[in-house]
Amino acid sequence: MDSEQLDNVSETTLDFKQIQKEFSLHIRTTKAQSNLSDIEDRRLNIYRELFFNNIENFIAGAFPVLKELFNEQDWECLVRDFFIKHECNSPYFLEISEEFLAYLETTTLKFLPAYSSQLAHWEWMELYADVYESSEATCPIDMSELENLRLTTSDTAWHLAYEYPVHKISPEHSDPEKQVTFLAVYRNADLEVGFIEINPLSYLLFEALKNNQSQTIDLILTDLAQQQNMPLEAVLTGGKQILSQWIELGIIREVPSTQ
Amino acid sequence: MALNDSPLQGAGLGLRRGMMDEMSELTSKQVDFLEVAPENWMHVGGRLGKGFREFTERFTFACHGLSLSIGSTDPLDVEFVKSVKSFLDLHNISTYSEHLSYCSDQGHMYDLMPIPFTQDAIKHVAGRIKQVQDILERPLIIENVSTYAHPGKQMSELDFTLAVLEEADCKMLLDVNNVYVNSVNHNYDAKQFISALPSQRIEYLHIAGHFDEAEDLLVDTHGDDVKPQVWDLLKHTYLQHGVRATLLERDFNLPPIEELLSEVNFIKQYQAEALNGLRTA
Repeated sequence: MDSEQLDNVSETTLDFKQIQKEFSLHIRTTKAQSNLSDIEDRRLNIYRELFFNNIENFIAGAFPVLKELFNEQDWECLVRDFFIKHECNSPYFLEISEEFLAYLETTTLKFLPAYSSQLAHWEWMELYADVYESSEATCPIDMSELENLRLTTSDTAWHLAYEYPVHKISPEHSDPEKQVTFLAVYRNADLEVGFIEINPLSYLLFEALKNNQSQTIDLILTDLAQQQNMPLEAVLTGGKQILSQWIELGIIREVPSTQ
Repeated sequence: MALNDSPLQGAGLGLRRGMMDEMSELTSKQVDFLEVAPENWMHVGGRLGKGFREFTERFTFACHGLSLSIGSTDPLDVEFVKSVKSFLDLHNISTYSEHLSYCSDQGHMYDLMPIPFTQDAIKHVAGRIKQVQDILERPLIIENVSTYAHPGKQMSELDFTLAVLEEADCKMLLDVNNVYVNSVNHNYDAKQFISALPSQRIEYLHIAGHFDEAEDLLVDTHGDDVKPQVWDLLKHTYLQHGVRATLLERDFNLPPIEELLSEVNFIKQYQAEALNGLRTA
């Protein structure tokens, strides 16, 4: 260490912590900071652009449909607002999209459509399903005695309820009517992600299976028919059809035996 | 001939998601080791997680972190460091490097900012490096970063770097391209900078391409071929400090794998030449 240099450090020199704070604030807000005034703007601009473009790139990659709905100016305004106002706690780059979802829940930007956060959640779901760390092995299910099997949902299947038909929103269809929409997202044994639109009864069946530990399919469907005041035969027949499809898609699995 | 006892030897290549298909046929004859950012692969399952395991089963790996934020004034994310340790243990990876930088201030910003070169910053960073090493039960290898400004600078980058290495008693990942970029951006002699570093602390090297923003302002993009001046500096490093494992970084503007392998082969060639030179010297 050069001692002369250290002697020259005056007692009034600023704490490095204060400078770091101003530097990061400048990158976020692009506003001038008093202790950075001696730095050429073209150098600060490298940081401003690198950081903003990096964040924008992650968000655009995760939410391509959402991005398409805005003009360039509004989109940049949205990303900048996120960068300034949201404190990202995740160290993981794949979770920047999750941080953005949390931000969308709280933002008051006027130009955002009412369905923005629900659409964003739907887009995020596809990424989440793709990389979810599953702890379950997949086993083929014997369909011949479906009614007596004890089934539950796979940990790589999710049921979702939205207030809008989020899966149909696009720049050409950007003003959807409110309409309760049930969807199931799944990742199959080949690790491919897919989704299906489901009806309200299927949604309830998914819910019942998700929590199921010991009941047979017949019992679950019988309970469901009673709760919903529906004819038992119709629920049994319809339910088994849905289950056959779900087994093919890898949405459900057998309850693991406790032995 | 291994010149140091590093678990890494030879020439390596960064593994990126966009290159996984092209790299699936790669053998350890072509590339001696691979490197990833643990933040991009931790807690990742599905096809990406499966693909990653196929690589870790075949190659020696180094982890080069992005989010540790060793210079930050936010509290150290101890849970995150523990997760890194589990990840390294799970995949049997002993090499973990991070940037002499900070990337968070009241929240993550996902890119690297320059720590002011001050005495207090040296103490702050060195203390955190030791804390991380204690949790990891592994050395933390610290990399010099490229910078475009030196806010709050009270000493040279070299003095700051040497003091951190000394105070934290840690190893260094010497990024040769970053030295070159900074030598232009801040007007110093790149060879002198490299020569002044302590050989025994240099664990491995990085090399990459950069972008010429202006005559006196280069940007470390990892999006271009390695420039001739940087290859020269790599040769200088081998002569000065001995041959070290060297990794080619390429993150953007990805070329066909053959082009990257030809750059990896340059590394191997320069390593062999330097070893010959050192033997006959």
